Amino acid sequence: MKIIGKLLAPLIGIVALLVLTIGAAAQTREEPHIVIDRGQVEPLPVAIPAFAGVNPDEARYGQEIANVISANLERSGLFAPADPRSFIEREIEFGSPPQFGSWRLIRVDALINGRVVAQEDGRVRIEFFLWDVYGEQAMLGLQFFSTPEGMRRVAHLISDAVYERLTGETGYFDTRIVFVAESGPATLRVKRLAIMDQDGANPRMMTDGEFLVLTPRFSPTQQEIVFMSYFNNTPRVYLYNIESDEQEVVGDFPGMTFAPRFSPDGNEIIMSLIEGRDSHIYTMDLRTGARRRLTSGPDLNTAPSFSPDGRFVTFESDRGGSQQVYVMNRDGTNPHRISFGDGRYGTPVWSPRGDLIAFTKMYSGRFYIGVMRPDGSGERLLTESFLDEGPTWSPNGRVLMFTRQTPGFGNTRDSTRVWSVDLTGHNERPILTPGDASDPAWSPLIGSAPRAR
Amino acid sequence: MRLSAVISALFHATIIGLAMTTFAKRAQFDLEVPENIPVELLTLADITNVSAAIAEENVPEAVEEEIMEEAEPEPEPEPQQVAALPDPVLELPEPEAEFLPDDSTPEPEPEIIEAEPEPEPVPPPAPTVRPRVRPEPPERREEFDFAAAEALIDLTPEEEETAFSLEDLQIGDEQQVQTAERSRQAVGLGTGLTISQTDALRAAISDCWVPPAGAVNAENLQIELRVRFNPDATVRDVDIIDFLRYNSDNFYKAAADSARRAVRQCENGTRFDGSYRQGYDLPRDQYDTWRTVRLTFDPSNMF
Repeated sequence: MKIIGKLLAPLIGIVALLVLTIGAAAQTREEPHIVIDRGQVEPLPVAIPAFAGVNPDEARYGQEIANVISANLERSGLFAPADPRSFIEREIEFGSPPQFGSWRLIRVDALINGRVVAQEDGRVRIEFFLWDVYGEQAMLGLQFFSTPEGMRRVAHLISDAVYERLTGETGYFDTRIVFVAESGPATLRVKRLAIMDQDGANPRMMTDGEFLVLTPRFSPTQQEIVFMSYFNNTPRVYLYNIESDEQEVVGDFPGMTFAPRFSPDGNEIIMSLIEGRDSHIYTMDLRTGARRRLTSGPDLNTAPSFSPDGRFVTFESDRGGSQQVYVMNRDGTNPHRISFGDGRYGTPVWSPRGDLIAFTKMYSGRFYIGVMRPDGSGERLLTESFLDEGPTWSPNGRVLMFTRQTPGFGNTRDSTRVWSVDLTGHNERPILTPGDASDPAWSPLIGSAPRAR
Repeated sequence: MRLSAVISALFHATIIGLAMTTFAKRAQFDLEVPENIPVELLTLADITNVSAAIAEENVPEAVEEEIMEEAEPEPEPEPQQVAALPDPVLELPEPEAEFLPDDSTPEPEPEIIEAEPEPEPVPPPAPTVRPRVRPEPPERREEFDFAAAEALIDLTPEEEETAFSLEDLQIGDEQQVQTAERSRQAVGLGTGLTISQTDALRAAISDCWVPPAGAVNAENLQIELRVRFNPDATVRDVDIIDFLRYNSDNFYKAAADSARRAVRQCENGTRFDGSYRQGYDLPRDQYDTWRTVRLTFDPSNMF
């Protein structure tokens, strides 16, 4: 009996253990898992009170900075700055957490709280915190020093930093636009090269209008612009140094050169050259002057644009019988058509992100600005009008600017303006320019704003 | 006899032992425990009792109005202690000609402040006496909505809110109510969130989620959060599970922040029928089932 007892004891133990284990497993609950794949596509509400200042000058700067940031963020279409009159907490001690509850009451998600402090050396210190109202924590804190004249630029840098922290992508507010300013009657049109901040501030004419200028494009190194000018009635591609105001012709080509654009590293120019009844695409090394023809055949090939990695070139050509968009390797091999929709396609521009190519489409007497993937798939038309053309990308590849011509009625004459549209196609709006404007080109970011971490 | 019993016992023990050591190992790989699917049953009793519980003639219009006035919302100040925030880091820009970093600037010390007592948003007065007439379903509902089903269940008067007692009811009614209560409690109690509860939570959070638009490779931006709730279904804390990526990928960081904001922002809100809810619509008596919930935010189909 004892033996049986000794044998049964461990057996009973094992069985009991088994029962307990199974019981425990049955008791264990997995935490519920829910997938949320729908959200709201709407601007993020942000509050941007005037940056605090002790003396009147500081307060004035603070107000100006808040206004510029607010306008930048609102124009992006991704943010909805709250009306300052709705603010409940009027004075926030800098560096201390605000009363989050009062900001939640007016339904803002983020709060930018900053101040301006004049320094003894005449400069100004501008510092701010970006607060997550619902997370109740600081998301970002930065400090800048500037002369009073640089206040707008600091506001653009702050806008970029906030934009990057809240969206994850690099901003585009600390940038400039070069464009062709137009004036005078249609028969005697004066076209001058002009530059301004991306928000329309600080416009400046760079040429006097004596010679026609077209298609200005920024260098990735920012110091130079390449454009086409009818200087002495000979259409040629020129380089223009923004800082020194000097210009020089690019290469000594026998015929007309046009549609220039920089390579991503800024060392080469890619452009079109008229040869007889055809036009071909050439690259020219700015350091050595070496040139290379990339296209062949009796066709019109123009409007070339490098991919951001410099390995491919997109261009327009009529080699298939109608004007279409093509892509080829940077040495000219493997050209293949990528646009197959109805109508004609032109002015392709590769996105700085590399994921899309923007183009102008002409169909049924209307013009469209659209985007497609580099393999030609996923075509999406973002704008439509009487005449839209010549898209240019913002440095973060999210917004496009283009020229829109609106026909006049009765006594009003045609107007040519620069417009912008974002990739969603919803946020389409005109850009403020001094008078008529066309052929915009977006600069890269001017300075390297501190990256949000 | 004794020997054969011993042999038999040994034999059985060997068989069981072998079974436990061999099959148990294999079972670890092969056995898939199917996930429980809790179901919610809307029995006839549930619905009929709610309306049958109150005789219409016992609830004259005037009484209902009076109760509505009494139920005028009183803002219940609920002081919220703002937790000590981490030191806001003052990041200095790269030295530039125009923008010089100032090392002498002291780092602002965050203070622990007590937030203003936040008056609760005014809840629409909940009539404590339910009319017999079943409320009309909202017009905009075109298809069966689980959230609506949830709201239906909520119509069952809770004990403390009930302005009438079981004694007020006729004998037959009382019996029906008790039967209904029993049937409700017995159904899928505590085994997990039901589909309608899950759907209501998903819908509530979706309403507040504004993911950053235009991110590159949005299909790779699935954000996983672990949300711990208080017993009143408000949010206790939210953890971003992939914290390494949060600290290294700006797109992910922005998207994760938007998800976290959504969870906090919509903990109080308005139901589809316009009634106010404090905390998410989760069954308070089954706290254990939703004490912690894992949420995956997937914006890949949105853009």
